[in-house]
Amino acid sequence: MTLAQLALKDIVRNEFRSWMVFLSALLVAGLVLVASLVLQGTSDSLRLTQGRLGADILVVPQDSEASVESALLMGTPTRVWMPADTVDKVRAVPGVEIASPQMYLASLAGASCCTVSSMFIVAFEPETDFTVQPWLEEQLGGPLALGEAVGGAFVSVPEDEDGLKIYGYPLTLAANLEPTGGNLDQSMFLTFETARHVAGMSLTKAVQPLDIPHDSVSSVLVKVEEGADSNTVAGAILSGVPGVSVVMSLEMFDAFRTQITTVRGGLVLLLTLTIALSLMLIAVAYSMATHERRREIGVWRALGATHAHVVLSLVTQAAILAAAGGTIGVALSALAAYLFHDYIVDRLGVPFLFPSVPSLLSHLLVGLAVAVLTAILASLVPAIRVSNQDPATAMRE
Amino acid sequence: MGMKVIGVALVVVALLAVVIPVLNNCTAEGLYITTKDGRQIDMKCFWTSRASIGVAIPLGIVGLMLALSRRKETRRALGVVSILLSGVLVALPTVLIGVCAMDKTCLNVMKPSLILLGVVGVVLGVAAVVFAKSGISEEAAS
Repeated sequence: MTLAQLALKDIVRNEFRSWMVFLSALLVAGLVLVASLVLQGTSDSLRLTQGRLGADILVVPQDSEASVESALLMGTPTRVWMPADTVDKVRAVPGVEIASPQMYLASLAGASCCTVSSMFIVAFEPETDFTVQPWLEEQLGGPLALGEAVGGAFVSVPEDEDGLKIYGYPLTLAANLEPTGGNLDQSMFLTFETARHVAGMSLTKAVQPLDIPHDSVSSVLVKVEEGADSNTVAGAILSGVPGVSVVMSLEMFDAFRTQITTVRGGLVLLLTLTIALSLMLIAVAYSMATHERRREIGVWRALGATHAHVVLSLVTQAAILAAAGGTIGVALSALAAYLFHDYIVDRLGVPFLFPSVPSLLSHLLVGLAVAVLTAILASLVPAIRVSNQDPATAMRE
Repeated sequence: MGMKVIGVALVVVALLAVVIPVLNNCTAEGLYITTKDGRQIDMKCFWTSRASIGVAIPLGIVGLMLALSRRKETRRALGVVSILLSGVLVALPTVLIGVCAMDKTCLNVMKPSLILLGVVGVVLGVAAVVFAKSGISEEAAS
C-alpha cells in the first residue's frame, strides 16, 4: 500500500477530522485569494487611471479637488466650472509645456443610453489634448469626428438603437478604452465641438437641456517642460492664477490610497486571525485523532515503520485534505470576487480591477499554497509527537 | 457524517436563496414601473425573487432529506435533484427572468448571490452523488 493510499483510507475513516481540515483549508484559501485579489486589483486600478490621465498637474476650480478626483477615478459625475481664460493664464506660467482644458458633464439621470443612473462625460480639446488624443491617433488613425465618442470599457450601444442617445443626440461609439475597474469604465469621452453640438440640439430634443456655461472649463491638464520642476510650476500656477487649486500627479488620488491602506489593514488582520484559528483547529483535530490511534501507530512502529514514515503519512493526509478544500475555496472565492465586483467597488469606494487570467492563476496558486502549508504546519507537531512515542508503551495503553 | 454536512449546507444555501432575494429586490426598495394612469407594476427583480423562493423551498427539503437518508440510491437521486434545482437558481436571474438593469441592489447583490448560491448548490449536489456510495444499498436494506 502506498503512502497516498494509506492516507486516503485514513481520511475516509476519520470523518470529523477530515471535514475540519477540509473546511479550514477552504476558508483560508478563499480568504487569501479574496484579499490578494482586492489588494492588487485596487492598486492596479489606481495606477492605470493615474497613467491614463498622463498629466503632471491638474488645475481645478478652487476647493473642488475631491469631487474632481472622485469623478476621474470613480466616474461619479461632477459639475465644476472656472473661466475659460484660466487656460491661457496657466499656459503663460513659466515651465508649462502644454495646458489642455476639459469639461465635465453628465447624462440625464436614468437615460436609456447608460447602465449607470447618470453617466460621467469628459469633453476634451483635440488640438491640445495629450491624454485621449494620442491613444485615438494610435487606435483609430485620426481624431474623433463630430458626433463621435469614445466609451469606457463597458459602454455599449443598446441593441435596438443606432447610437448612444445622450440628450436625444445619437452619438456614434468610435471605440472603447481598456478597463480600469471602476465606474470610469462606464464614462464617455467626446470633443468640445461634439459636446457643444449635443448641448445645442438638446434644447429641442431632450427632456432637459445639457447646460454648458459660456466660456467655462472644468479643469486644465498640465504637462510641464522637460527639466522643469513640477512643484515649482504648481506653485507658480497657484500664485499666478486666481481662483484655482492644483493637484500634483504624485499626490493624485491620495484619499483613495489612504482608503486602500485601511482596507489592507483590515484584511491582513482578518487573514491573520483566520490562519491562526485554522492552525489551532487542525492541530487540535490532529492531536485528538493521533491520541485515539496511538496503539495503532505503536503497532506500525513495532512492525518497522520509521519515524519519518509515520510523520509523512499523517502530514500527507493533511496535505490531501487541504488541497481538496483549498481548490474548492479558491474556485468559489474567485467566482464570488468576479460576481460581486461592482458591490465590492461600491462598498470600498475605490475601483477594483479584476486581474487577467495568468495573474488570476498565480493568485489561485498562492491561496492554495497558503492553505496546504497551514494544514501541514498544524499537523506536523501532533504527527512528530505520536511518532516519537515508544511502541511498546503505546500498545500497552 | 459527510452526507449530513452536505445536506445541512444545502439547507443553508436554500435559506440564503430565500432571504437575500426577498430583501434585495426593486420592490423591497420601493422601485416600480409607474404607468401613465398611476399604476405601479413590479419589475423583473421582484419576479426573480418570487421564483427563487419557489426553487429554494424544494432545495431545502432535498437538503434535509439528504441529511437524513441512509440508502445510497436515495442519496444519489437527491443529489441529482439538488443539482437540477441549483441550476434553475443560476438560470433565474440570468436566462429565465433576469433582473432590472438600473437597480444597483438587484444587479450587485441579488443576481451575483443567486448565481453563487446556485453554483455552491451544484457543487454540493455533485458531492452528494459522488459520496452516495458510502450509504446502505437497496438490497442490503431489504
